[in-house]
Amino acid sequence: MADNGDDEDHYRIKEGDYVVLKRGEIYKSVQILPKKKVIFEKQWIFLDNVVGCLYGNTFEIRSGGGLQLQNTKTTESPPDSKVAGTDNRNIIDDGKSQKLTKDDIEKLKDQGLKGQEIVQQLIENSATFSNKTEYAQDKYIKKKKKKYENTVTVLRPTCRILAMMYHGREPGKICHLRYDTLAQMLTLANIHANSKVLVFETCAGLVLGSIMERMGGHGTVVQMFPGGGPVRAGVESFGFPARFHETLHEFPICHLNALEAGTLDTFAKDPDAGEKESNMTAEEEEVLPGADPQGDSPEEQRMETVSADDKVQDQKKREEEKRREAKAQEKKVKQEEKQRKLAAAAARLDGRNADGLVIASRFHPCPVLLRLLRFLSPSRPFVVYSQYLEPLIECYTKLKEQGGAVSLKLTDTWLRHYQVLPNRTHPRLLMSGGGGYLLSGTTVAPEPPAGSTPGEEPAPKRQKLKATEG
Amino acid sequence: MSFVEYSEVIQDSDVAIIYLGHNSVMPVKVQHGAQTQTRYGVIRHSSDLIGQRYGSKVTCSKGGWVYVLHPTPELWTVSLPHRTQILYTTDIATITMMLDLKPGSVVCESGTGSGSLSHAILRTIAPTGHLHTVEFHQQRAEKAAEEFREHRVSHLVTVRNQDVCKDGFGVMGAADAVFLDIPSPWEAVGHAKAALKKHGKEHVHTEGVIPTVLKPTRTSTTVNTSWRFFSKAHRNASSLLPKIVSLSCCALFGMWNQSGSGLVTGG
Repeated sequence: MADNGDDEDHYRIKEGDYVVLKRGEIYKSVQILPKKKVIFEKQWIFLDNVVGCLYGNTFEIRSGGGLQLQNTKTTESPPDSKVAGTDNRNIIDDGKSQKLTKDDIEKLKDQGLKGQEIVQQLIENSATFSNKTEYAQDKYIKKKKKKYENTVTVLRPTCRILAMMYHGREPGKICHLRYDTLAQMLTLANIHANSKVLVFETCAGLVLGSIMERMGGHGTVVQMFPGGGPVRAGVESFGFPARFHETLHEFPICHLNALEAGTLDTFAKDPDAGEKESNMTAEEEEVLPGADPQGDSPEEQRMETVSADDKVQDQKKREEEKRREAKAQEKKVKQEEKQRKLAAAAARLDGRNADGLVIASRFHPCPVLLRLLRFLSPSRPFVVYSQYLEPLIECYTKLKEQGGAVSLKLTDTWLRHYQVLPNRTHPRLLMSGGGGYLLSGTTVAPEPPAGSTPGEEPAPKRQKLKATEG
Repeated sequence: MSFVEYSEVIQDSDVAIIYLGHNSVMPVKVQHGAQTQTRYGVIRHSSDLIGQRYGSKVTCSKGGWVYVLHPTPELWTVSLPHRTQILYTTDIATITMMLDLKPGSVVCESGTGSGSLSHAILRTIAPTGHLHTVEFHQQRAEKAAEEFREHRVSHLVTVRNQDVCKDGFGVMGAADAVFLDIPSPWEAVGHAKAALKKHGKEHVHTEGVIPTVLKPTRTSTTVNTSWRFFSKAHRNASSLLPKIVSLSCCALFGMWNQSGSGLVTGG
């Protein structure tokens, strides 16, 4: 098929790509840069060799840090030795079953023996291995492999992988948001292409990135941010194409008052810029009087044949001026760009017709939620995440009082991992209370002013008086 | 109105969701001149619904009121007419994330059942993706196709009435993700492999808790044997560590390694 070439290309690793390194359950997000040293699991590696390979490949770490595509044949487990025991009644755990010492193993490692072969050596030098049951042998091999294998898999970043990574490595950065809770948020808020979503998050950009992934670059995302600027480190790790960023806007939450009052000033000149300009002119003035004692203006001096020293000095001054001018110009352009973006974001919000709201932050959600709900159309979903239950209970109560939302649900989910092996399938551990809580609901048209609605409650049953009367 | 795009105002032939109270929602096909009975009274479509904004309060004849909401897959899941046991939003959310679904994904699904998961998938993969769904029960397949038409999503989905274990999904090498929720998933694993793109992901899901502790195991071993049948490379036994999530059902996630070296763990 002709498409295969293109498809293949899409699945190959390119320089500059953001990827995720994986070993077992450990993930790390990195960017592929030439000759850049990366630490992964206490090892230094260079990622140059992975460029051009397909995503999903596993590589061996050679001594020196280079990566080599793993030959699949070598990953085959050693043929199960037929010798196995029936149970462990005669196996004594005295710590002396392994004949190889730590130093011996280090020597083997230095010799450049691959993980596979080290494991083989360990098995051969274990006195009790053949007494173990088959399952115990399997378990032993797996454990040793995990310790001595020297491989890393390179994956394309997706919401799932990054969510697992953040949850495993730095849960504090994402308010302890577990990945299945994130999945619930994305679905309950009906995140889909061609919608307009408001996001308020302090989860290092993970939530924002996940939403952008689910929107596929279609639609609009407006990020409300506290403080000076939005934190979006996580969004980079997703490796979105440039056009996705065009759909992303940001708006400082401190300006919401102004926006609602209609007094948001998006065209005012930044007072700082004004100051800088006046500083510039002052400096210029300083330079010119400085030039005066030398006589003529800088241009004229250029034409005159003056001493070399003077010429150099003038040139330096001119260059400095030019640099300062250029900087001021740059600043001005940046300032205008900022104002333009602010205006664009404000325009997106002004219609009060957003299609979804997602809140996930370390701040108390109540005030944020109540303010931002006003920017949603009626009959649109919203989701609030909180690490703790109590703030959401407050939100729930306030929403019930003020109205404007139905189908309010306060939920949390449990996640249980299972080991799945023939005849050995069982749950591994239960994670509970560790994933955070969600408040979800749907907006409805706001209530008209009080006093005009007779039907607040469903009408009581009609009394069948007529039948008994008369 | 469509299940994959919002609109503001209710129109004729829309499907709207009537919200009667907590845990009480019902779908309604909006038609000129039609009426819907609720426990709060009658709703007359022409006057009460058509032309009104989604999210408005509607007063019924007896004086009670309800809200009319824009349909979403989540509301559909709790209001659709059941033809089979369905998947609920909690599991659907996890499945959507674990399969890395996003706009443009091509997904194969079997069985369609009552279409609960199907609608959620369609919402996520729109506007550029496609869903190939297979249902071996003729009436259910027809009903599903009819609903997709009414919900204005039929351009994103192909319903096939066949047995996935015998005839597969009807596509080869095209899917980014495969989802199996059938009585004997191990029988369809081979077809799932064929339907996947070279670098796709498979998810086998089985309903119920106790009876299916066996299913992931059997399926996982079958995945290995059928894989061996399809490729020359050897499988990596230790890499088969499927992860299972969710309260109400077991699921086995796997991703076929692009170089054909066997089923590796999800993620």
